[in-house]
Amino acid sequence: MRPAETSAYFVRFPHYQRESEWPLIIYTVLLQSAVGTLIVGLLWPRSWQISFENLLVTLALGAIGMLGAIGHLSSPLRAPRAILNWRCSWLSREILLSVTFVGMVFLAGLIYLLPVLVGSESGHSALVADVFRVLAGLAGLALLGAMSMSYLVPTRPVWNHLDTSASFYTGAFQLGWAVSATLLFVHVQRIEAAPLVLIACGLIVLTLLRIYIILRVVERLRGLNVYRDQPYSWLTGRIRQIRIVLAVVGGVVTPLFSVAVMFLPETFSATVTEGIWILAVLLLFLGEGMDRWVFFEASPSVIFPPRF
Amino acid sequence: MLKQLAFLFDPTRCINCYSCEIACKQENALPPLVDAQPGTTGPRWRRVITLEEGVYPDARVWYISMSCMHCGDPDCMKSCPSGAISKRAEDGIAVRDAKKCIGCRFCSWACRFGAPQFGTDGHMEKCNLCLGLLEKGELPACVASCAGGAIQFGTVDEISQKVSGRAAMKLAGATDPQFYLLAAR
Repeated sequence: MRPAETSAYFVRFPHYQRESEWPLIIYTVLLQSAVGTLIVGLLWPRSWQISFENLLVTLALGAIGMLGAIGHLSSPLRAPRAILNWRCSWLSREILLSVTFVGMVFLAGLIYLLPVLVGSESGHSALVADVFRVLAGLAGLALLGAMSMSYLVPTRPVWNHLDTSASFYTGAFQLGWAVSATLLFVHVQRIEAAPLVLIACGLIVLTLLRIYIILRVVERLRGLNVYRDQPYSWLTGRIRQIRIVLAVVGGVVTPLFSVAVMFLPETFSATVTEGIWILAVLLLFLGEGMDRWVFFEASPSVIFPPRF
Repeated sequence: MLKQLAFLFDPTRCINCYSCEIACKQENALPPLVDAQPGTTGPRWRRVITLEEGVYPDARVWYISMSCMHCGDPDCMKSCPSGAISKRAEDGIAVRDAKKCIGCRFCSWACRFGAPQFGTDGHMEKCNLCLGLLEKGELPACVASCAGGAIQFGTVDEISQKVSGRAAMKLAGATDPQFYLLAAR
């Protein structure tokens, strides 16, 4: 068949296309990082917290992630229907919790801004906003659980294991930690040595935990015979190697470098620290995106043979 | 009262002619899409699978025509976030409502038999036992077209009569698939 005729098929059947992973990659990575950013922002000591900026970034990540989720649907206008079967569908619960999480974050931000919008000072608004932040954090934790449960399906042995949940939780907190740290370093021009070292160490620990989970997934899948048509090498090949390098550079080397930069002159070190942490966030997001791409690509569906 | 319909398949009668697949595609207007989707034949609500057993010279090959199993407790129905898949109260046929489907493909991840297929209208679709034909009192297209009479269907009582003394095995599975296989003579 000539190319022109092939494209005519697509014109006749514009909706018939291979399932695209990109919307799901955007949705899962951004929502997870949004949850991580919010929760890390809540758990950090008060002196490290940049509450309003933290909420803004969380909201931006969550909103873009939700757009990704809608992009996955063939009928985006019917998206509200996705929460109807929450009693038994994990996907329904996931969407419901996503909406709750982003909605709570939006409300918390709005309540923070309320005194400015209304033009009067009120000590209560920050307290109420914090209550919404905590509720959003709880919804976020539940969302990560529901998101991973959606992938625990028997037809996809690659996903159907608790290490999928472990990947989602560790990825969320690693990205959240890096985003929160970057916000702090961008906002505060000069930071004391002790918090900087603690924040750098925190990211290194979370990164090592994340890498450990990645290696566990590879180890679990070694020897599974489901890769007759989907190369096992994808999980150990160059893409994964690059992913590990990105995680190590973004989550270990750059934090260590930012600690070393403390010894530079003050005016210079602040700018460099800021740049280093922005670079770390970009590398970690890129690595997590690659990880998720492999997650979706190297997951052959196994249609059960009849068992009598 | 629910009279669950089920498929009965006799592998000794199947000649691997694929007429069931073709009849299903014709009846339900499922385009081939061979060239638009290399390596596929477009949506297939029914497919003939090959099972091999034994070792040469005692090797045997079985062909089994499978479609939606209209399970008693379907994974597709439970996983569908929008409630687009339901079981009919009168005959247990698992049907999808195109107007409710959001096209998330989650049912195709959940089904252990690969029954829900992504359709040309951007929504999931699956075997409905040729409801249109059933309502006219006719047989489903796959059953009617089967050259060897390998595919049969009916209520569990009707199937037990058709078995007439031969051993039949029900497909095992957590979702209670409604598929019976006649043992070789």
